[in-house]
Amino acid sequence: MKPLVAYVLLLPALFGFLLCGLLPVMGVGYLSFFKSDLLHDDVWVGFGNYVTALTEGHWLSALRASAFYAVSTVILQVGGGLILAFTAYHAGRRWLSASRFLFFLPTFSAGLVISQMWRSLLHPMGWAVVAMKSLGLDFWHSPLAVMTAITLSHFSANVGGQAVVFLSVLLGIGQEYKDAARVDGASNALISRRIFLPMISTTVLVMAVMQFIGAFQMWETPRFISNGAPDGKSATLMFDVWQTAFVQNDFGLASAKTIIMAVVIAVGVGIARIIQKGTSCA
Amino acid sequence: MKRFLPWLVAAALLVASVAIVIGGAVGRNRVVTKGVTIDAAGVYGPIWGKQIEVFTALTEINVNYIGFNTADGTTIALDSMINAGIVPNVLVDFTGRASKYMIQTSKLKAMDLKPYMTKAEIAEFYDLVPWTRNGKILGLPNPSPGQAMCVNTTLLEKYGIPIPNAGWTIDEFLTMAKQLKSFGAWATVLFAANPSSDYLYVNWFGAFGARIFTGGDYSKTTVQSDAGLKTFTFFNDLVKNGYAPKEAAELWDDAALEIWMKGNVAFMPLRPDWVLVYKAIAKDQKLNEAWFDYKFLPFPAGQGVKVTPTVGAGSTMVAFEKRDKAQNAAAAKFSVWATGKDTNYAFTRQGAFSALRVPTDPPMDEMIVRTADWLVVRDIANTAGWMDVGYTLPMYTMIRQELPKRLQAMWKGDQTPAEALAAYAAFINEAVKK
Repeated sequence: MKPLVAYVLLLPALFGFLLCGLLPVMGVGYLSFFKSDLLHDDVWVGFGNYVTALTEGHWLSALRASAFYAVSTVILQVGGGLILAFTAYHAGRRWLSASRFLFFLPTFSAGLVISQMWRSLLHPMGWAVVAMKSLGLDFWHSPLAVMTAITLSHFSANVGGQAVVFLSVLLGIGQEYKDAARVDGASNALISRRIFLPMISTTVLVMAVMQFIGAFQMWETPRFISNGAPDGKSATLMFDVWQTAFVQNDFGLASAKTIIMAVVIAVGVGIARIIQKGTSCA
Repeated sequence: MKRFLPWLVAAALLVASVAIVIGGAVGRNRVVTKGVTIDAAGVYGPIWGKQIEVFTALTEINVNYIGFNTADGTTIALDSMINAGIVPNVLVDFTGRASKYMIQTSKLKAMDLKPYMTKAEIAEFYDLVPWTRNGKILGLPNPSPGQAMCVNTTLLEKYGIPIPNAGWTIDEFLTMAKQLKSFGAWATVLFAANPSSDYLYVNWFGAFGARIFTGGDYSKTTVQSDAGLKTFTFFNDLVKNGYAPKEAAELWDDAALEIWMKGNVAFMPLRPDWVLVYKAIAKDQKLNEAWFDYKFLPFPAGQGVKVTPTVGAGSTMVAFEKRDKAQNAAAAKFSVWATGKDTNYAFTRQGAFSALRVPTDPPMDEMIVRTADWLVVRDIANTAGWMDVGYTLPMYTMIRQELPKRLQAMWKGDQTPAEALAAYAAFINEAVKK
């Protein structure tokens, strides 16, 4: 196929990307330099919105919370997904379909529904919170406890999806690797750790990056479980962007926060790429 | 072949631009079947469907209704429409959201409806001051739900506590609260985890004589007062003394209502029509299938207060000025007609309270809500009026976020009532400057 044909075939996707991706991003970049509520005339403020964003207490708090979610989500989702995938893989072919269905089931549920379930569980006067209080943990006054609950909610909704992806990659690896290792007396755990894990490391890294980005973009889970409580300390960057834009009607500041968020994510992804290259060289 | 890429990007941009232009043109040049066609955007309801049908038959003006979802409580739907160049001729939405668009800027111009109304029509409205800016009427109110105190008489009788009557005082309320606590029941429920349903407690400001805004002056709040401090102190004492659940800072509005629905709470500020809704919910969700007897009363009054005004907001109609003068005239005509007697009558049957002075009370046997409850609130509205909490301010959605934050801080012991009040007032005063 000639390159020109390939480019022509790319045109619809390119068109969609430009219209729904690049143009809005450029619009956000433009707005970030203005005081704007989208209804009055925009007022040029230069880097004022960036300065405000970086010096606002709750924005920095949201940055900390997002970093917590990003790290905990990557560890739990990727780690949990791998454990589930390896377990299902070694359990034998007859369990594969059932396990894939079960793993993927929560992914069909809207995040909102799962968040609502957690919110009911963590009712301020509910048994779980009362039990924690009796053990000395005042749940709703502890940012760490609330953030942990949000992480677990997010984990329970998404770990199955991770497992299904890892399982698919594992099933693509030839059976001969496993058989050869078996002949040498390797256990399932050893085969998983020493043979399969290095073979699927690229997929693991991609999924980790996706989870990292997703953690920063998480909105509905903190919105519906805690609404940012206590004192906005469980709010994510995306939640803060949403509040700034659609509650405070400050679209300029929200745009600046979005750009900063994109930079933070890009730095995180860049670090992941460096780690990946380092791992490949080794 | 990389040299082709810039050309392809340019071609894609060109196609995108052409699509936008054609799309906009198609949108503007809809086929007009008869008369003028106007777009009315808002949250669709059966009353509006019927009213549009009647209006179209009476005037031969077509009304194209664009329903949008406001389930998340924000104005994201209309903001997106406006910024995509799809400005409706008329907006109908909850006043607390529609007020954001009662502005006249280069991007969006709310129409001054005054020139389209007769003096008699203007005089029919109880109060258009909150909808008026610099002498221009930028929106018209529809009937508003109002509220009073819903008293769980079953609970009071169970513990032998005399059922209060209209004219009761805050002191009497607190005496009953103490008695209820001794039986393991609550006097009321407060909450501050989210800003929704704040109307369930802002009435208490009125009970102490405090006002958020006074006399249509929105340049500053009047809540920073002795009465305001009494209200914050009262909120603080209710939770600290265990007259309301001590988890108030973490409770969401729906959780608070769920506690009330279970029947162990004696007093709850509510709309009469919603009690029936909650009764059905309590039955469906098996929270309290037996339900309880109740009656509506005016709020207990603090020292020097005769009757506490009611609180509530219905929808507001805002017409937007466009280039097409015929459309502007049609939009104004629709706005004035659709906030008139017919609509008032339809909403009143469902339990709202007329925005018009002219009698629109439906026959009592047509009322969907319990008539006695409805009459209590109507009498309050007629004698003490409506408390202005700033629903018609463009920055209302922002202002309403602050009160729960201050209540949270106070209930957690981070701020004293005086500090919480000062911070609340300072926030409003800063917000109204924007």
